[in-house]
This record gives sequence, structure tokens and C-alpha cells, in this order.
Amino acid sequence: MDGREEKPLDFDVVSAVKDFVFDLHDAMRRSLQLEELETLYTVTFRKLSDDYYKIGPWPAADVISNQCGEDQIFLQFYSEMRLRHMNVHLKITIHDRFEAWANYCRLFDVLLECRDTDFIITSTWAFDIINEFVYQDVWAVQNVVSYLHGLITKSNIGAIMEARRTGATAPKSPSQLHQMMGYYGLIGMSRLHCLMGDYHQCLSTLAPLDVTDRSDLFGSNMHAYVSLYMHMGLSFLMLKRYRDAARVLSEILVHISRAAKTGQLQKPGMEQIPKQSDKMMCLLAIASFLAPGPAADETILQTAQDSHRDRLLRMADGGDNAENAVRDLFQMGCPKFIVASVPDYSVVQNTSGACIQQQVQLFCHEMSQQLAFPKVRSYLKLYATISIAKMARFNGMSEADYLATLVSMKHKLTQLEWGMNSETSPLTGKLALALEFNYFVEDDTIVIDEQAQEKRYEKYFIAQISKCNDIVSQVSRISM
Amino acid sequence: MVQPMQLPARHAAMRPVVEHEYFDHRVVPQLEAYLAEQASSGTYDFEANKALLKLYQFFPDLVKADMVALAAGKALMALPAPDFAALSYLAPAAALAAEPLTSLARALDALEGARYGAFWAVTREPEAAALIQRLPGFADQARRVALSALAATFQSVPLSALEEAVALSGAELEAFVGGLGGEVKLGDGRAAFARNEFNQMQPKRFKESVEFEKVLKAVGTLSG
Repeated sequence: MDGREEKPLDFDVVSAVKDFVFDLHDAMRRSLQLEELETLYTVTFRKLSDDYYKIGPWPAADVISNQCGEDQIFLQFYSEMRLRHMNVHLKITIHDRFEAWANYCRLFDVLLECRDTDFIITSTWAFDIINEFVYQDVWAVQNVVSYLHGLITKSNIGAIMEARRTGATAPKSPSQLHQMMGYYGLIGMSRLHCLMGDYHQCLSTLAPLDVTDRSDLFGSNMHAYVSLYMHMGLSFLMLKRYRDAARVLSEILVHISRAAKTGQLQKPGMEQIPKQSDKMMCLLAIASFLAPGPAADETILQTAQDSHRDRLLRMADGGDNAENAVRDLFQMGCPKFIVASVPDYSVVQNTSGACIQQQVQLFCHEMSQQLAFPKVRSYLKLYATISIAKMARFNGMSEADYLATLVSMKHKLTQLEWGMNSETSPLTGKLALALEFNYFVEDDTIVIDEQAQEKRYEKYFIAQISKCNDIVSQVSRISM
Repeated sequence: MVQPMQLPARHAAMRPVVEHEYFDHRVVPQLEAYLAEQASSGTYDFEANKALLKLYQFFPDLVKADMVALAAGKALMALPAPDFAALSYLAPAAALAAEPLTSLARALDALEGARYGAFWAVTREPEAAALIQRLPGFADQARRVALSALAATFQSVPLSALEEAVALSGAELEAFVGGLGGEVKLGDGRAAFARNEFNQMQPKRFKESVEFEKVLKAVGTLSG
């Protein structure tokens, strides 16, 4: 002993932070107060981070462990928050990343073993954990898949959602926290499949949820809502279901634009949303280019088209420029795809880049097969009946080529359409023609059946009434 | 018009392997055998084949280019379902860039592009032909895809166009058409397609496109 008094580990941690850890532990593990937990997680944590941890990390778990009576499970959740904060706001080392991964494994192992079930978590927090975990793809993806799969199974979420739909007695989840993690596990798993290029599984994973029900959990969590719809939209696009792609992308973009108007997007923590919105605008522009029609909201569609007017014009023009325009637009809109195999760290290579290239290449190739369609469609729309010979001449094609294009367009645009039907899963749908009109050939004449193209005014009037109302209320707010 | 291929007899028994163990490389041989069985029996289980390609993603050392080609061939037979595209996104890049997949991709573009003469020509090239030979029923599935696209576009076509589309003529053509149950009628040098929802005028349907709640809101605004 050197005679000096030994200081406690947390001697230089400000008391507000100690109190926060104490309260967080209390709300999560003892009093089980959801509302309090939400405030601590979304408001207090952010405020303290701004006040004290702008340039350095939060105290390590062992430093503050006396605030929670050394509760190891709680400390894993605390560490997850701490490491996520570092990852977002500070420069992190490879060591930190290893630590984050190890912490996730410990945390999920505890959940999977169900040793302890006395805890709660908020919707926001649960989504953030899962979302960040999926981002840990530099590690073996099959481990991420297998943990998510474990969380989903353990939570009984599939059976719980099914029971909610049928009104049967729902089986229990081991804890509220398990149920939350299972629920967001489904959304995280769907995203992971999408990023690995398994678009079919991205959609089938969502079958237990009613993704059209905005009053469900994801609806009150902007990040979850965006993640869910963005990946669903991309998957529809890749699986050549353009109407459904346009529909879900439009749905979420309308939601975001409303949130922007009410100031919700100006709140802290929403910084990523406008970027994601821009990406989805690119995808929506592509989807509606391929299958124009009523699936998307008119105002949102207008915005998407205005933002990418040049590229869309080049695409509609056909030719060499068109393929570059498609490529640009798709690359701006797609997420960072991931590689499933364990990277070989001994070889320096950009595997993610190669993976993105494969998705981009294949998608653009499919687009190149359809670039002639918009022009053909725009001519068809001008007529009720017209001879094949004339139409082929207008399009600058031989009759044989023109007829092949007509058949091909019918074939490619006859697609499954789910139509956001709450009764069925996104993977399912009815075969429908993704065109504003039908056409067919009778002898030597093309007949255009414009029934779906009939001019309708009700939506226009409703929109104008609401716009007028907005202006009136804005005017009335101006103080004289 | 296009009949989906039947599920294999062991479909139900294979579910646990397909659904829950796609990160366990030990099931790879089972899935490969199952795929070979689908090929020879003319049956089809998309999700199982997708699970196999996914395992190949996780364990690149296990990739068998031959199996990737077989899965892609079955997926092409599943047209108009987008299975070929769905599998391509998962397939190993090296396999995609090599034969027989490059030929198969050209065949797909020709078939979907309604360039039927070109399609049949590709299927006769040695690389593609060797693969197709292992996929009984391939030609008939492709014929049905072509016919269904034609029938959605035309009320009738010259007989020569139909012959080119299905690569059959004379008695073989008649036998094939006979097996379709009245969807195509041959006569007078033309082939006529039965009327369907795509190749004739549809009665006008009126459907409310504005939800009641929106109307209510507008009325409230106007009267407020």
C-alpha cells in the first residue's frame, strides 16, 4: 500500500451520467417502465452524449458497473449502446469492432438461453440493436443469420402474429424483450436477405407481419418503417414486380414527406432519413419508368421524376446513353450489397464491390431488354386501332421486330401484383398487366383498349381542395 | 396457360432441410441430389434450389458449376415466374460468366424477347444442348411460354409464325396443339387462340378510386 486512498473506478464520471445509468437499469430491469425507458433511451442518452461524449466514448461497462449492482446482462445492453455511439460518432479501431461483435454474441447468447427474462426494451432500442447487428456483416454472415434466426424462433413471434390475425390465443414470448427482438429480428432478417441478393426470401420472411398495418409497431418507428419498405421496394423491383415496387416505395415516401412537413424529420436521430428518401426516389423513378400507372402517389412521383428528369429522358430516348442513365440511377438508389462468404483477410480485394457489380449488371441487363418499351407504349396510346405496318414504320422497326416487341412487352409486363393487400403476404399476388391500357392484334390491326386510361378527375379535385385548404390556413397564420 | 411444374414427391420431407438449415453446409449433398432428381423427373422446387445456391454463397469452396447450371435450367423452365432472375442474383459470378450459363441467358433473352427462331437456334448449340438434354420437358415448357405470350397478344397468327415459335410442324405440331385442350385451333393457314382476358376488349369497369375518408375530409374542408 502506498498510503493513498484508492479511488473508485467511476471517480471522474459526472453524476448526471451515473444517474442515467442507474435510472436506465432501474427502468429496464426493476420497475419495468416502458415510457421512462423510452425517454431515457431517446432523449437523455442523446443529450448526455452531446454534453459529455462528443469527442470521446462513454465510460466502459466496468467503470459504471456499480450503478447497476454489477448486472452483467444489463451491462451488455449498455455496452451495445456505448459501442454503437462510438461507431456513429467517433473513429473506431478494429479492436472496437471485435469488441462490438463479441458483445453482440454474448448478448444474444443470453437471450437465446432464456436464463433471465426480467427485462423490457422499447421498440426504438430493439430496432436499433438489430439494425446495427445486421450491419456487422464484415463478420461471418452465417453467424448473423443464425443469431437472427434464433431470436425469431425463440421469441415465438411467428405464432404470436398468426394468433393476432386469427384471434386465437397467442402463445407467450419468454419476455417482452424477447418479443421485441423477435419482431425486429424479422425486419432485420428481411433486410439481410435483400442485401445478399435473395429478394424472394426478403419478401417471404415478412409473411408473419402485416406490413400494410401502419398501426403495428414498425409504423411508429420511422427507421424501422423506412428499412422495411425500402428493402421490400428494392426486392419487388429486382423480381420484376414493378407495380408493387412503385406502390410500396411511394407509400413510404409519402410518409416521409408528411414527416418532413410536421417537423418530425428535423428531430435529432433522423439525419439518415433524407438520404434514404433520395435513394428510394431513384428506385421509384425506375419502377414507374418500367410500369407507368396509378400505383404511385402523383405528387411523390412528380418529385421523383423532376429530380431525375435528364436521366429519365435519356432512358426514354433509348440507345447507348440510355443504358448509362439506367446504371447511374440504379447505383444511386441501391444499398450496399454484402457478400455471404467469410472474407479471406489474407487477400486484399473489394468483394463487396464485386457483389454490387453483379446486382447492378444483372438488373441493367434486364432493363436493357425493356428500353424499347416506353416509346412503343407512347405511340400505342395515341390510337384506338391502327395497322401493324403503319405502327412498325412510326417506330422505325421492321414488322417482325415490332411484333416481337409487342409480344415481349406483354410477356414481361404481365406480373404478379400483390397490391398491398393486407390479407396476403407480399410474396403472393395476382397476375396482372402492368400497363395503363391493354392492346392486342386482330388480323393486321392493333386494337388498344383504353379502359384503364379513362380520364378521372376525382383525385385531382381532392388534391386541389386540400392544397387550397393548406394555403388558406397558411395565410391565416400570417400575423398582420 | 403455362402449367407450373409439379412439386417433387419428397417436397414435404425436404422442408426442414430447405427452410431452417441453409447455413449448414452438411445439407449441400442432399440438396444437390434433390436437384438432380428434379431435373430427371421433370419436377421443380424453387426454394430448395435457391437454398443450395445460398449455401454456395456461404461456402464458395463447395460450388459445383454443374449444379448451378442445372438450377438455372430448371428456373428457365419455370417461366414466366422470375425464378431465373432470382437465382442469377445469387449465383457465383464465375459460373454466370461461363458456359453453359451464358448460352442459357441468351436463350432466355430470346424467349422473353419473342425472338423464337433465335431461341431455338441457341438451344441447338452444343453447350446449351448438352444441358437441355439433362432436362426432360424443357422444350415443351418453352413452347408453352411462347404460346402463352402469343395468345396474350394475338387473336390469331399465321401458321408459319406458330411453327417458328414452337419449332414444330405437321403431325408433331398437331399433336402438341391437341394436348393443349382447345387453346389453339389450326386451320386455313392460321392458328387461332382462344379468347382470354388479354386478347379481346374487356367490359368497362367502374371502380371508386378515392377512399371515403378522403371524400369526407374534403367535404369537411369545404363546409368548414
